[in-house]
Amino acid sequence: MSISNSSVNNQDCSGQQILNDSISHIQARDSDLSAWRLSESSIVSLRMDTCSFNNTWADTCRWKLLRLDHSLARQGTFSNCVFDEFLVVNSFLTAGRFSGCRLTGTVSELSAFALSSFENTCLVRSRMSEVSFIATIWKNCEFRDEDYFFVRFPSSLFINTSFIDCNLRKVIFRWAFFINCRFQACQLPEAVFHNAHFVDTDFPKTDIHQAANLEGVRGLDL
Amino acid sequence: MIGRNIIFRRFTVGSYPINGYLLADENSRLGVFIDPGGFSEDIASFIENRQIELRHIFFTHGHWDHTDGLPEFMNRYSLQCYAGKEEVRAASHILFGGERLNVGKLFFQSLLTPGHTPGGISYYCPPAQAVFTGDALFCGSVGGTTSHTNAQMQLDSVRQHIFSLPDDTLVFPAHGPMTTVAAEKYANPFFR
Repeated sequence: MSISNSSVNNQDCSGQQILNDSISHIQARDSDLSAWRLSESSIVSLRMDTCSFNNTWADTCRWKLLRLDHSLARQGTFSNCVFDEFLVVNSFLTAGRFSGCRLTGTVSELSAFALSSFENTCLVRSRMSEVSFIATIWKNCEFRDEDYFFVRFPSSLFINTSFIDCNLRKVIFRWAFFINCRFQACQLPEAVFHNAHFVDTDFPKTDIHQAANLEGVRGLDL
Repeated sequence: MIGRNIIFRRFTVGSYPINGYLLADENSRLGVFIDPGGFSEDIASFIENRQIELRHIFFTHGHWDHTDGLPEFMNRYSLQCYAGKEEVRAASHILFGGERLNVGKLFFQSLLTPGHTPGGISYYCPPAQAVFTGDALFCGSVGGTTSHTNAQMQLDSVRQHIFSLPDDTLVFPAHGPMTTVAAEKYANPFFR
């Protein structure tokens, strides 16, 4: 079933299977696009306003211009996917699993990725403000050229993860746990590391004293 | 987004911007605005385009950044206002927690969540599986308080009334990003 070049309004479009296919230019509003299964496919310009996109399973897919506004995208599983120009506003992507993914040029505001896990995943040139990553797990991930304002990672766990050339303004790492991580050439103005715990983590060309709150930090010789 | 037959929109409102939320019953078109910290043409257009009959204003508390837009709302719509005790002078209905508030077929339960202010109210909407917490609970944080006693009261009331909701309940605070009950209950550092 091809749904390319379509506009759906108040419809049940759940359960789509998209295998070795290309779909493009879909605008959905007030619709259910949950339980999609996608593999080795290309998705260009999928725009959702007030939609459900829950329980998505996608493997080896290329997403370009995926846009979520006032939408729920909970419990998605994304493996080996590439996301270009992902836009997420006023939306929930909670309890998701991302592995082997690369997200480039993501823009997100007032959205939640809480309780998600990220493995072997790279975020490049994102711009995010007021986004929640509370209680997320990051393993073997890379943040590169990221620009964040008031992005929140409280109680998150970072393992073998690097932040490179990132501007992390007012970012909240309260009670976060870092194991074998690196902050390289990052800006940390007004960042909060209250009660953060560091193990084998270094800060080349990064001044952690830019942070506004280092109270209770463990594992660093401040 | 948050339940069948529910119209929902978040707006950034006010000079000290907060999240204001509009919900309406899709069938009756009756609607409520939570925390009118300001008014904007975006709100007016949305109400007009979606043919919403705005009937109610819910205040989570009476701080000016949550109430400043009320005169403009009152000028444009015929409204009933709801707030906790001694929070908002314009409130026509005083809430103490536990009241059921109907908006068409939509309904809300008021939850007393004091601490940030003495009469703070959160609004739980079971059909939407969502709770609107004002400044009582933020993503990974809580609103400021003026004393240790008030801070403890806030934590206790959130534990009692918000964390007892189903884990997948969506939490919409007045400031910052949305979150869920599970994320806050298990990971908000202020509740450790």
